[in-house]
Amino acid sequence: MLFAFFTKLLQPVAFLLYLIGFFIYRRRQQQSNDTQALFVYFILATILHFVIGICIIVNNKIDNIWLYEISALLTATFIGYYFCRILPGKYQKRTVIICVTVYLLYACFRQFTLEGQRVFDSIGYALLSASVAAYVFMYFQQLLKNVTEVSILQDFNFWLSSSFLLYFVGSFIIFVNYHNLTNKYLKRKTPEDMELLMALWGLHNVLLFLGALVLLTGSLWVSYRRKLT
Amino acid sequence: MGQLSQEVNLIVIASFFFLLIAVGIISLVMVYRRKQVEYIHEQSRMKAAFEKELLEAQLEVQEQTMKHIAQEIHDNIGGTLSLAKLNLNTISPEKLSSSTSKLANTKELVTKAISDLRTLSKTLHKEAVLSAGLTRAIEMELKLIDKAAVFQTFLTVTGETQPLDPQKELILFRTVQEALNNAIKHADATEIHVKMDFGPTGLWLAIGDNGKGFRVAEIEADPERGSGLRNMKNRTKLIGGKLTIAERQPGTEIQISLPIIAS
Repeated sequence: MLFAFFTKLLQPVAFLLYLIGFFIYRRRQQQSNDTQALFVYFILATILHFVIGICIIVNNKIDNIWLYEISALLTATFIGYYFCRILPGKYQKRTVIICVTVYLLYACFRQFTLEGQRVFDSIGYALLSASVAAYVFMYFQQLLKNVTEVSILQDFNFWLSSSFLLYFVGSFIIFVNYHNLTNKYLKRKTPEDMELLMALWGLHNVLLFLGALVLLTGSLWVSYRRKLT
Repeated sequence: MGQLSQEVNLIVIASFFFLLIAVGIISLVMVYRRKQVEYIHEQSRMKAAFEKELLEAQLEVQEQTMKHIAQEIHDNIGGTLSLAKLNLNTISPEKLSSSTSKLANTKELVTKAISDLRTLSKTLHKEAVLSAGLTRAIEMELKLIDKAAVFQTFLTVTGETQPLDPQKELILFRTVQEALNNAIKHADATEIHVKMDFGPTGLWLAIGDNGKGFRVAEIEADPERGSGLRNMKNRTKLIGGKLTIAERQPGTEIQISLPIIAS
């Protein structure tokens, strides 16, 4: 039961937590285009992952990889847009645009050249993870460069970036190897291998949940401090 | 099964390792940023303290100036004018011809009073004196002490005189003034000497006397008596200098070194 929750439902729950965290932050904040875009992203991602979760519960054999590919596409676009807005430097913005463009080109290329069974897109996810990690590093760099007297803990973007870093860096190795592991499973299709793969995805879900918890903590903290002042 | 299991185990370990790296980076950013903010706070605190000291020094210099003016008017100009008035009182309008010398004397006294007033306005305007430089200001201060004819003062300046930052100069001058006051009030000295040495990288300044001296450690340990010295030390530290007190036989010497002297 717990295993099923971790492998099938923790992911939509984590996205729901992200959404709640964002909602709490936005309630006390002047709503800007940056957060608006990311808020829309989390709504879409939550719906998408709840659909994926329900599909898996209803029919374990259903092909949901294309849903993950849509999710990756949304993630690349919306997170890229968000960092493009919050990063102040011209070169930093350019880097974000290049990363997003490269990902989109790759995703298009993959759709046109895909042959055989659709398997988890390790390259795409690895590309996405590396890009987001790069955005976060650029954000941290400018955070340390332009020091203000305001505590870093009161900066919602810091919490958001930290949650992204934890999730994307933590899951990087899983993303890189998942395609290969799925292919190995497909050769033998043993229930033990299936369980191992699911367990590994469960770990990915835990990392996503951890990121969501960080964001939720951050939004609660920021809102609490704003309320006090 | 075994091979896949091994691979998954490795991936799990690697994922934890990567997660730890991410946590480490976030912690580093937080710690580094906190240190930066602390540094900024420290800087603004130092700036506020410097401005406070500057203001205090300005006020003290003004107060000291007023005191000098009052003393000068009372002891010198007041006396001269009183004498002139006395002279005028003794002159009878009927015997003007016999009072010529008295009139000449009164005229001299009034001229002296005017001259003293001019000197007073020139010499006691500390800010104006400071605008001519620290050396000149200290020279004026020593001249004032000399005038009382209780102490003999000596000023030695070596090296090429360089202008200081005006704000630092004011605080330094106030510190020197305080050291001179201490020598006058507490040292029972007959001689006061000030040495200034302008080196290529800094200024070294010493204010010494030939008085009874004191045990530096004892004074510094006493919170009531040592406050003046602590104040002088703090002020010197605030402008980037160092103040040390040397016990001499006889007397005391206060030494100030200021490494950055360019204005």
